[in-house]
Amino acid sequence: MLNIENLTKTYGEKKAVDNLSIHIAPGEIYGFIGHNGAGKTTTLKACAGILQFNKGTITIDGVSMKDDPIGCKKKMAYIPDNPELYDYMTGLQYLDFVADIYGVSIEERKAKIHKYASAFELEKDLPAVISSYSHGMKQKLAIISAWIHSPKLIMMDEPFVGLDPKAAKLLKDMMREICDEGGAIFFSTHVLEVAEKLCDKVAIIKKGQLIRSGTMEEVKGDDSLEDVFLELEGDK
Amino acid sequence: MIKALLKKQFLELFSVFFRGKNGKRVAGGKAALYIVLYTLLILMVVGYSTMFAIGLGATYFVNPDTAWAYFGMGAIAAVTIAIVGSVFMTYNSLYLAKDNEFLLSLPIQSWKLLFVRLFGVWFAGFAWESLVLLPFFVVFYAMAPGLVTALGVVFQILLWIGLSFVILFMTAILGWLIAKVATHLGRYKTLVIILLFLAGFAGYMFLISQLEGGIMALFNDPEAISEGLGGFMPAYAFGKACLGSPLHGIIFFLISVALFTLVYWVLTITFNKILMTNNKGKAITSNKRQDKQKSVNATLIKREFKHYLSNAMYILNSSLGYIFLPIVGILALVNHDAIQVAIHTMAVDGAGDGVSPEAIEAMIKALLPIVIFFAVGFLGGTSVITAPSVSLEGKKISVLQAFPIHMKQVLWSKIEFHCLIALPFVIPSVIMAGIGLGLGVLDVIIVVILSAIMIFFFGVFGLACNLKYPMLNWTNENVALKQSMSVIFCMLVGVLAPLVFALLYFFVFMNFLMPSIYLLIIAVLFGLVSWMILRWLNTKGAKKFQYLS
Repeated sequence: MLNIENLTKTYGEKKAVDNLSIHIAPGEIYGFIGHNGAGKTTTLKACAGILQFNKGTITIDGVSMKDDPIGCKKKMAYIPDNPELYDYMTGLQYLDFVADIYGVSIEERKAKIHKYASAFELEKDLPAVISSYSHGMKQKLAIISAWIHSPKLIMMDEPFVGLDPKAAKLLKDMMREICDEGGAIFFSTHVLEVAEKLCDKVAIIKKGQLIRSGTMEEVKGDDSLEDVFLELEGDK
Repeated sequence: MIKALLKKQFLELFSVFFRGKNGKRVAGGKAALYIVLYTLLILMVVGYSTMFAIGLGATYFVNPDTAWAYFGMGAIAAVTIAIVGSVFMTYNSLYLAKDNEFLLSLPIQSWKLLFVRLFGVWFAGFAWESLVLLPFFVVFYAMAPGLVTALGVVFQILLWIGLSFVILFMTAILGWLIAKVATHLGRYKTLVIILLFLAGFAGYMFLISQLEGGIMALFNDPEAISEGLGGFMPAYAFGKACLGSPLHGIIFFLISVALFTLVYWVLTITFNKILMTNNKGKAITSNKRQDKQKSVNATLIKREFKHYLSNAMYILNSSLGYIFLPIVGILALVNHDAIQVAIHTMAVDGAGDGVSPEAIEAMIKALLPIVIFFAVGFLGGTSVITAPSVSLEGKKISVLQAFPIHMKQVLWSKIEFHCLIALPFVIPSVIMAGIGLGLGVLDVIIVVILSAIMIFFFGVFGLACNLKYPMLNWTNENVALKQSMSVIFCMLVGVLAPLVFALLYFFVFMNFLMPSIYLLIIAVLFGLVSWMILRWLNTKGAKKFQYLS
């Protein structure tokens, strides 16, 4: 579903991502962990087509991000770490806006909005303008907007930040549901317990370089993910 | 503590020169360009003030008894410019500053916080006032050296500062009023703020026109002057003080200090209360469901429209010219007969040396399309909706970048939106002005075509400038609106381009080109340049937008 091959991104002299390769198959929830500044957001942004990279290739469902960025974006959705939504729209207007961009029919969007907004208990707040939302509400809205066009791949940067426990559980279920339907999830997180329980595969990145990746069992063995991560990062 | 807060305030105010996107230091060349642009803008305002002062001086310096009116009118002009220039800054920096919550959480007394905020506002008003008033002083020394006295110079300096307190008083009241409105209104907040601003501006202009008429009437009745001036007292006192009257100077200065004290006292009482209420105002809600799927283009234009309507400052900053244009058109239409009489009178007055009044009248009428072109260029160039539109995306730009759409579609929606707003104002205004000024059908058509092309040009030019110099790292939308280099660029081009073309015609082409042909050539020129900019936007510009951060 998502193939990252030898991805390199530099900012001036500094290599933010260095020759990174990750392969995510359909049906997989793939966790991406690393210290602050390790290169997670840079990688996710490059995969979302909003950041130019220096070397390597990114393909989504066989479509190259460099050759056909629009074709790639049609197949995926991206939720940034801080949901920057249009404050001047109501929640409903924002979802309609996203649905129009992706060409989602009125019937389909209505069904999706009802399903997810009621699950997140956001339905009664949708008519309110986004500037009145809390961080968690914005995050919920960003999640609904990502799910609205049934993407094959969803990439999320720290998706659980700001969510209440109920919403976090719901998001985990939604992630699993997408994968059960043949989609894939690629997300970064600092919450290692969540990654350990939720992910099929995990990649650990340090100073832009991949230091370990594979199935959860391959990466952590008999230890906890936290212990392995801290050991690899040299903090233990 | 006040020193640290002041330092922060001024860093914010001048960050545009020294800090670029991501807070990194601006390259020397870019900083220099900013400084050159702002200097040009300052020179423009100073130039207009100087011309205005010379015009007034020629009228009022003839009789020493009427010289006070020169300074009175100068003070009124300075207050007008300063209020228009800084009223929204007052509202934003006092009540909408993003760091208000942070600063309130620190152990800082609110009077100190208010003092620092007010200092920034005062400084802005003082700067605007100085741009107008200082040329008035210089013109006075040059044109009427006989009226200069040592005491007059002292009071000019004192009232230069005193008038800034009056400006602060007025902007603080308006800013407070806007803040109160914003706190209590939901859906119609933007509309009410705009109407308040326009009503205030119209009322103020009406008062000025009445005042000038009143002053002229008083000059015809010397007894009225000696008996006092009632409603004209502040302008009279200011004028007399600048000529060296200690009584008027002291009264004016004391009143201005009293006004400052009053505003500071009232704001100290209400400042915390307003900040601690929800300054976003009532949440706007809408239950309206979309019942039809929209095309990508339509949905992008709708997004621009929603953004535009959400911010009164955006509307006023980028569309005030379009509000004035219909007024100019209607005035021309209503005063059609008076204009024709005025043209005829000018022709008769200007006749002589073998030139007949008919020939001069024909020449004036032939030049009228150039006058309309100048008005559209001037007002259109200062009202470019696309000029801040990339900067206004801010950090939310990634929402668009992640969508499966070509960024040239996004850019095109911005240009289209600019034209959709501007053309319905510009075209009827130009037609009305054309008819009012007595232009022939062909001339009206040419001026309409040129105006439409110019509006399109400003749309693409503003967008290209903003793409070249975006400011995404703002903490308040109004910083992007007020301090974007693209906005300054468009204003300069809007003001200078028509001026250069008009001067070129008068000094070079007038003898061998008909005005209508000249305007057609300009239209082709603007069209060509617009097409070239559009090509850049569709290719390199779109790519730049895709990866802006």
